[in-house]
Amino acid sequence: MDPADGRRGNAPTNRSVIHHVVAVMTRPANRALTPDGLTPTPSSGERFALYVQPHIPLLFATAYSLTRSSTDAEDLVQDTLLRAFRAIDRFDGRYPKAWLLTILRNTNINRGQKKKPYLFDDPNDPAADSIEETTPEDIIVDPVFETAVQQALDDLPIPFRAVVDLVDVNGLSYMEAADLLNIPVGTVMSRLHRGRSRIRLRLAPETIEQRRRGADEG
Amino acid sequence: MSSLVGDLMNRLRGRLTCAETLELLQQYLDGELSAEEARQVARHLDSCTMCETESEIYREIKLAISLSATETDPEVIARLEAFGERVRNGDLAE
Repeated sequence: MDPADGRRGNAPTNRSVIHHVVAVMTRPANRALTPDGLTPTPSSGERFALYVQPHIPLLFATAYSLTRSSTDAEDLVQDTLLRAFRAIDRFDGRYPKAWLLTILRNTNINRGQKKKPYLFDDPNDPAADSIEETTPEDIIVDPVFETAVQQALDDLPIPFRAVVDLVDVNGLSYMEAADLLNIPVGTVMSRLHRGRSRIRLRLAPETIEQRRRGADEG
Repeated sequence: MSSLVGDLMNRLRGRLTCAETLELLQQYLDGELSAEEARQVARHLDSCTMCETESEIYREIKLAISLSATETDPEVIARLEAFGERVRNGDLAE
């Protein structure tokens, strides 16, 4: 009993009756109600539309970061969508992005991630750092800062590039990126730090100075 | 030299040194620090031109990277959204 309003047990209040009437009047004709008569059970399709479909652009961007191929990424997302649909009724509705990224990761592994072992390279392997060394001739003097960054980004070793893409482009947290790549968070941080440092070092002082002047004038 | 003096003063005040700040800078920019850690980094950046400049450069790099890869082919997304609709409608159920 609620001493505040003097009601007893589960006796319906005026408000709950009104809610019930509104729910009945506004529900789609083909929509079933749950036993309590108030809350319609979302269908699998409705759950899929709610939890999965809004994330399709993110799934594709993430898949592209993993595969570096538009065709492979599209295939990967299609497989992910199918798996997500099959699992949607078991999903509790919490953290749909993390749930989908987990499915994407597992799908990618099952699709033959072994073909792309670079994503699992040991970041401490000296080979990962020896892919390119900047020489004075390589130093970027492009007057457009963004172009210079893009060029440096394109030259990053793929393990670094993947992490930078996932965090900076796709907006994943360190934990999400670590889960997706199946590597420790510390490795994500290390690759991110080294990847960005490489970009930073590839920017000629003139480029940075020009950017700085532009910011001051703007 | 002034940086060394500044670091010594920061250490005496219990504040972050330049090295400590730069160590945390990436996590700071990514929003991965605790509120207290972020506050300490922000306080250092406010008082150190060198670290503030580094922070601004990396912030610009992050921005440039995020802008660099937003050109996903809209046709691909449209195809995937259409595929998602077919999945949702059960057309592709196995």
